[in-house]
Amino acid sequence: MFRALALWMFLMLAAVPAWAQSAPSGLLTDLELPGPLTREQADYLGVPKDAASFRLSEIKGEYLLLEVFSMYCPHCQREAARVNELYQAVAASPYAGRILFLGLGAGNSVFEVEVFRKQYKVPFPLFADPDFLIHKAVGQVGTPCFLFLKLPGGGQGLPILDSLIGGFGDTQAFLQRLVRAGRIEK
Amino acid sequence: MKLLTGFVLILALAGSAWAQLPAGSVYEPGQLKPRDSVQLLRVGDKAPDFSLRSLKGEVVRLSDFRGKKNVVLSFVPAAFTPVCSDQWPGYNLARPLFEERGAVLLGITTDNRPSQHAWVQEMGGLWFPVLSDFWPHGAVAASYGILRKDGMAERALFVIDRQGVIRFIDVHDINTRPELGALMRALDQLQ
Repeated sequence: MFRALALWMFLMLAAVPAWAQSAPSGLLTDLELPGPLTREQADYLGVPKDAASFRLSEIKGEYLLLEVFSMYCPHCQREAARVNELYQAVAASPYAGRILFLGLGAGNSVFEVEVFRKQYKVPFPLFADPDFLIHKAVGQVGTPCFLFLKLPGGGQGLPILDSLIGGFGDTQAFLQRLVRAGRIEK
Repeated sequence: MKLLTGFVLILALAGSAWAQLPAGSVYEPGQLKPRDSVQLLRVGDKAPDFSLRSLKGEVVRLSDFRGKKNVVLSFVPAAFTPVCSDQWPGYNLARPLFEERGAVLLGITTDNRPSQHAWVQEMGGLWFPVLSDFWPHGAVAASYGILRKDGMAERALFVIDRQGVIRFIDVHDINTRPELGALMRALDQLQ
């Protein structure tokens, strides 16, 4: 009995790192992002181009896939082409214009975000978070991290419909996962 | 009880899989004294020459680049630590920026080569030479005034022009990563 209990305790302790890595859930604070935006960013997100800042809740869409990444993260580098593929898959689907994409470079300067955007030809807006302020607000997650949010959200924040830390593997399967999480109808 | 043990075993195995994710696979040294050395060199000084062996076994001499290339020396404190393990993979992405500016990048730590080898493999490879300043321990770092009391190098960047003159120094807070834009602007000044 004692041996079984000791084994059980050991296994519980071994399981702790998995729980510590759990992806965000619940509500996400309505983050404020810095402007001004480029014409392309403003048109895509539906927010004023010259705004000094804007909040996620001001984005004109039904759903937002927020990717927390870092130019320095080799996993994010490897995932970049797949994220672009997902963007194209959404654009070619009935969900085009309803699911929007936005990237946050955790600990990255504007210069570093631009290096990442140019290198991987990222087609959706990317924003810098040089002091990790936004990264802290999303729970200091590992990168890449994907948060699927319902827009515009309420006074308490934006509902996190689904989230994932790490790569998502098959693009179509992940898109279907998002559709299920959002209960999105065609 | 057996059922419960089986259930927790599955959870534990799931933990091992998740532990391979970006966060958590490196040694966490905690918050260190931001700087633990005394500045020895200034912008405008001649860069101390050195020869160190790379992971490929080649001997790399700073003076070999004299008259040919600008050189960026990136000293980082230690293999398998969090900030170092994303600073250098970031330089993988920035390779064209170094090359456009006629610069070579040399990465230096005071680790021995077997440790460096394992670490670089773990990071998926690096395009620039990684040099070991292990023995005499930290001698090159000491000649640049950046050897910490614990035997690690500071997290430091030196830009050296084609004449072998130091044109930029950033002995950075060891706990944080230097911003890439500042380094590129320093290289732009050499054009």
